[in-house]
Amino acid sequence: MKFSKVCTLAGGVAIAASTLLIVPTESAQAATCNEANKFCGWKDAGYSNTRLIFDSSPAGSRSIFASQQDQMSSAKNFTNNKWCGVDQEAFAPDHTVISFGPGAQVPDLSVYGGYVNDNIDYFDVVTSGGTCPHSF
Amino acid sequence: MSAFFLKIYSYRTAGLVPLFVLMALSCGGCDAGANATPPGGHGESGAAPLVGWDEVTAGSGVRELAIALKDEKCLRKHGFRLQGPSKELREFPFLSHASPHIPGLYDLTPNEASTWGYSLAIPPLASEADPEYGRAMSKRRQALFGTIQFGDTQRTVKILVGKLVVKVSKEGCLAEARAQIVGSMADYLKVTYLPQSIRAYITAAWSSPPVRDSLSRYLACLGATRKQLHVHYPDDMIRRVSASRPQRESHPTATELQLAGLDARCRERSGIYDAYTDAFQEAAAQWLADSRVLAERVLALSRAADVRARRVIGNYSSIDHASTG
Repeated sequence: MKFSKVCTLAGGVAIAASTLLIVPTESAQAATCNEANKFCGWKDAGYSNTRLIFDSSPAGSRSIFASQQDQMSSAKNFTNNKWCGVDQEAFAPDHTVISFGPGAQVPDLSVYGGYVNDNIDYFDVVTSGGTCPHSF
Repeated sequence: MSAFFLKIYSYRTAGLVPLFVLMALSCGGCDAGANATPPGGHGESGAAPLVGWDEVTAGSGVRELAIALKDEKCLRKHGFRLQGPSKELREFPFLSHASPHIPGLYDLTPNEASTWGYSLAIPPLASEADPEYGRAMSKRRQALFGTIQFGDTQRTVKILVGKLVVKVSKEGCLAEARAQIVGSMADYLKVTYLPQSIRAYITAAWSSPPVRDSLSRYLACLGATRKQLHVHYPDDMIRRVSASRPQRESHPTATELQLAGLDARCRERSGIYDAYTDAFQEAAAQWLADSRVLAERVLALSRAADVRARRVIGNYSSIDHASTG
């Protein structure tokens, strides 16, 4: 865990009026994501290897990986909300590195640069027209 | 929407008026503007002056509301409805992105802090109108809802942002709504995902020596408050203090006003906002230079989409808050 993560968690950070949900990681290999109202993220590109997140947290929530932060490499969003992927690091405040709108399917984050791939620590969920809390 | 919230929004947006007044004022040009640029057309792209990265990357609450209204109309035909958008977006769509906010640092002034605390710094559009709607369905009905909303998720349209592939379904109510407002699904992907690459420069800006120096001065200025609230960056103050608010719409407490005042004074004395803005602008200028052609296209598409969106919202002037919000 990075330095700033320890500090932030110790500080008890929470977005306004939010609920904080810790999402269990699935050990199943290459689990699918064909359900409506789910956001899914995988450890490897091509929606493969461990499915790290399988969640339908409502807007206003924070969805946190139970473990394995900084490992997600592909994602699908079949919810009607926007999922804001936030990076926590030592030399910058928490900030959204990419947001997934409703219906988005991103098969390989690794080609987007190191600041996104294997770098998302949690998601802030907002309505599709909402603004990510750690972004513009 | 409380009177207090109206006041703070008006303050931040220099006397912005409610939606119905905005619509009345702007509808004269809506039809002409919308017709001048057909969906997916190139009518404005060549002539659109490029103002800056901030305009290219700005979102649009008007656009999102229009898409939501179209989407909801389609869903209702199939016996469903949309669990969002929030009441705030319905009533004040132009406010969701109204504040000029450089990514990574909020521009909190002493005047704003002493009057409004962190009221304006808290994103207003966090919650759904009916968050339990989708979750309360049976699995079978959820699947049907997904098919109506997203269509066949294997039939997609894609865009390359650099080398990043982003796909969305080209079928379903949502795709239809997006295409109607933005022009096409390909254009929707451009205006939504191309601007996101500017976020790559946030860390670089925070790492620059002038910003680190200013940050040190800012943290020292906070004194004991820094440790008490576990503050490492200026916007940590906003998150720590606003997290204890019972409601975003409520008035700030005396404690919040006091802390926000200290925060704003320290920001001003340390020069943190100017240092960060300079560092980010330098990086953003490079981004704009590298992405100029695409950025101009995004700006033209966004403007045309907003014109269409205003016309759509105008047609929904009798928005039924009771049944949808």
